[in-house]
Amino acid sequence: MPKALLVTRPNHDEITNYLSAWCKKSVDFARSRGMTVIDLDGNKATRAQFESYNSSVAPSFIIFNGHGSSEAVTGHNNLPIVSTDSNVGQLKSRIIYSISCSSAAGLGRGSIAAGAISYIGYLKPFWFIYDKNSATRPLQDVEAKVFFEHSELFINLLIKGHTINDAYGRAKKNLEANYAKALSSDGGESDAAALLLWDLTHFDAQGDLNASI
Amino acid sequence: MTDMSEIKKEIVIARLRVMASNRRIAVGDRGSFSRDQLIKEVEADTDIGKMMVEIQMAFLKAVKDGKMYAAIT
Repeated sequence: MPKALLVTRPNHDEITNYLSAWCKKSVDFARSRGMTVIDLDGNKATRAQFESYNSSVAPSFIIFNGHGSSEAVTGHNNLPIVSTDSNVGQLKSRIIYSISCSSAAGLGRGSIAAGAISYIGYLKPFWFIYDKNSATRPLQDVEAKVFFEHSELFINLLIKGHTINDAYGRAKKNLEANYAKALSSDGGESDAAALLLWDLTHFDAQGDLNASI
Repeated sequence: MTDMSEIKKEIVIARLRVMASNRRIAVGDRGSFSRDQLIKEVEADTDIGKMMVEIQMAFLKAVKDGKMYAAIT
């Protein structure tokens, strides 16, 4: 039976539109590798849809894109999809990557306590820079690219069968490299460097890091 | 006596002033901010402004401590 990936990709505002566009590349990559992909994009990114597919498909890997807090990740129109105090049990036996603010802090720890294999995410708010003139074309935005490359790399390495530890280490190296490039640039890149350092510092992996999907 | 937090805010505002005007800084469900909006957030001591001060001061400390060289080399 092919491995399954469940993704939430709300896109109701400019920020979620960037997250969604960048993750779509990995959705396509997973399909090209023969994975079963449940792609809850746009207004399909709801708690009801998530729980329904999570139960019926039992994905080995879940990716949440969206806004978040330390205790929850949200979907379409910022409504919670999973939270520590309501349905964290949905994450049992899953590997989860959450591209959202702060969720690794509370929800990540809560999910591991509830039986998740591993939770990868950010301990504090995830910041990025984008070019307002490129906002309708997120994948062509070179300002934003440096903030999303590590995420795409991490996901794609997991899809290829690498362990979490390996994928996480290589994703961190990618963030470090982009930080170094921003520092050594002749242009006014230190604002990007400051935010890259922040994201790098708070990119976190918990649980069994020797696992793979 | 000048409060240390006011000095930090002045440093951060000075750094933000040189940010390119086409750039927007995004942070989760708090939205995205232009250079001028971020400066106002810092001046007004909002949660976003305080976080921006924390981010910029952590970066400057990393530079001072040589972390920038570890990343480059």
